[in-house]
Amino acid sequence: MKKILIVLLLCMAIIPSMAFAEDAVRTPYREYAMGSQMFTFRAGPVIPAFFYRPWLDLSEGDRFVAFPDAMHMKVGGYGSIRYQGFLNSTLALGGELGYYFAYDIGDELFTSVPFQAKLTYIPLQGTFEIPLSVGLGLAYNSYSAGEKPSFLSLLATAEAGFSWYFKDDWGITLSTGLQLIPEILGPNHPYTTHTTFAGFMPITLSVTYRSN
Amino acid sequence: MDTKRTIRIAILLMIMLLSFISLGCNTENQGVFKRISESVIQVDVGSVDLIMKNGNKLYANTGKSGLQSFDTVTGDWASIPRSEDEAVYHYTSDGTVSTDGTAFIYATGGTGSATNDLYAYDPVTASSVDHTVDYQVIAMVPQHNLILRRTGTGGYAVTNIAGTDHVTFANEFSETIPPSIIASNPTDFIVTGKSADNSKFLHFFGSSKDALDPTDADFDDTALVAMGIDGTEIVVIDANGKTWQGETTDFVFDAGVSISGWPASRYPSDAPYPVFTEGTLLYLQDGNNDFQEITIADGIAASVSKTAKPFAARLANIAIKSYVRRGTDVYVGTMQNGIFWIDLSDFSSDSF
Repeated sequence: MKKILIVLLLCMAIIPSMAFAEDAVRTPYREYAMGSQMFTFRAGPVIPAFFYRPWLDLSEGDRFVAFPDAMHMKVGGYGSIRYQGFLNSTLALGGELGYYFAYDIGDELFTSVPFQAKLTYIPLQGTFEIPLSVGLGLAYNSYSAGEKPSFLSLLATAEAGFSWYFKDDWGITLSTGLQLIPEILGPNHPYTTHTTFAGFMPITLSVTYRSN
Repeated sequence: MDTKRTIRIAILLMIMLLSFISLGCNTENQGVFKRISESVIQVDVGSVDLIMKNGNKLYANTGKSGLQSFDTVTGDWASIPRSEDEAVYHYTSDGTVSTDGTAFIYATGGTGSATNDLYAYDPVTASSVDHTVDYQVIAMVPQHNLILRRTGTGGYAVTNIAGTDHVTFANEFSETIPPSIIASNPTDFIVTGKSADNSKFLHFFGSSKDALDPTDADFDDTALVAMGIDGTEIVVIDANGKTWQGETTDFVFDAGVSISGWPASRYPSDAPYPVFTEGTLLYLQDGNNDFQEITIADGIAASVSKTAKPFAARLANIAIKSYVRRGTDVYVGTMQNGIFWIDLSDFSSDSF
């Protein structure tokens, strides 16, 4: 039994070092520099995270409701395209255009078309990368119920991911984060207390092509 | 140079931020996310035009499933069996069913010039039989035992389901554009429609056929879509969402107010609008699903307080199709979300 354990431990120690040694010989890590570019296609489900209504009259409901059941919103979907160019070896700046949809429990459709400037910081680079992004932009939001209201809003996003570049130029990324869409009803609006900060949590799988 | 660039970037960022904040302002409604958080599960039967309540059963003409009964204890929907004539479907279009409170009759086809085959449904025996008389049905008031029917060229009558005429019109209304009917109860109703020469709208009240006289010419421009009565005070609402107030002693009407949030895209714009009355107030839901209360004595409209009258909050994201009142209970048929109730003793509300 002891022998088996020792063999296993040796294998666990040796196999990764062999893999890294082979990588080091065969493929040097991609080094980004100013002018490097990334094209990304993303898609995945979106979990409604929260509605925060800081000025809501308590007789009309809770000020903070979280997750689909309490928000009366089903899990939706998000797809987007993104282009980024590197400013230096770790920072990339670009834009993202997406489409988000989700149904409420009454099967009325909420859609949002977000377009945002996106800044990505990649502290860990190589075959495996960890991209951290923040975004700021606008979202055009529509709702199919009643008079079919729509509005343009601010959009702020933050997300973290884990990438694996299975080829030098091609990689896949699993990422998650938070999309914040505020619906601000001004002080003269009859329903100003309904001002809501809505948070959504996309979990996306991305395909990225990068080039120098 | 760097300082200038920094200042320029800072100014641009400030402008962007201010734009974002102003663009984030939603001026159209009570808030999309608030409405989503109040959404309600849809019911398969579609829109619910309530007809009557008998025991624990509510009867309704539904958008997807025709005539249905709803058990208020079990929450079960049940289809009402078709008539003995197997060829006849009990599909009814809007407003082609009416009741005397214990049974109801329905037309099997749409409204128009052809005589409708009418069938009567008896909830006790749970069966449909041929109705004794067939009419050219123009419209029915589902809750109030009223049938507006065509009697001949340019002629119309308001009849109850037993076949008794309340009032007849020989040549007042247009032959090509039939009038419509609104009612508060089986005796207080208004027939409203284009004049015989299609030049204006005419409105007549009840069996006495009193013409509604305006103090403002706008009164002749549209059909009336809702009414409410409190003693001798009466308020009516035109197809543009404007209130008119008068008294049943002389039927002279003064202009009231335009109701805030009235649905501009309603079709057909002159179809009867669902309302209910409680005491001195007429209640209705506007185009944003918010409730408005109209004082019958002066025609003034105001938003219903969601705090003081919780039903306005409970139903704030539910489009309403019809109301049936029994005592202090108002049963609410919705467009997509089944049936709710309002208890007028404390203005609470919920679904079944």
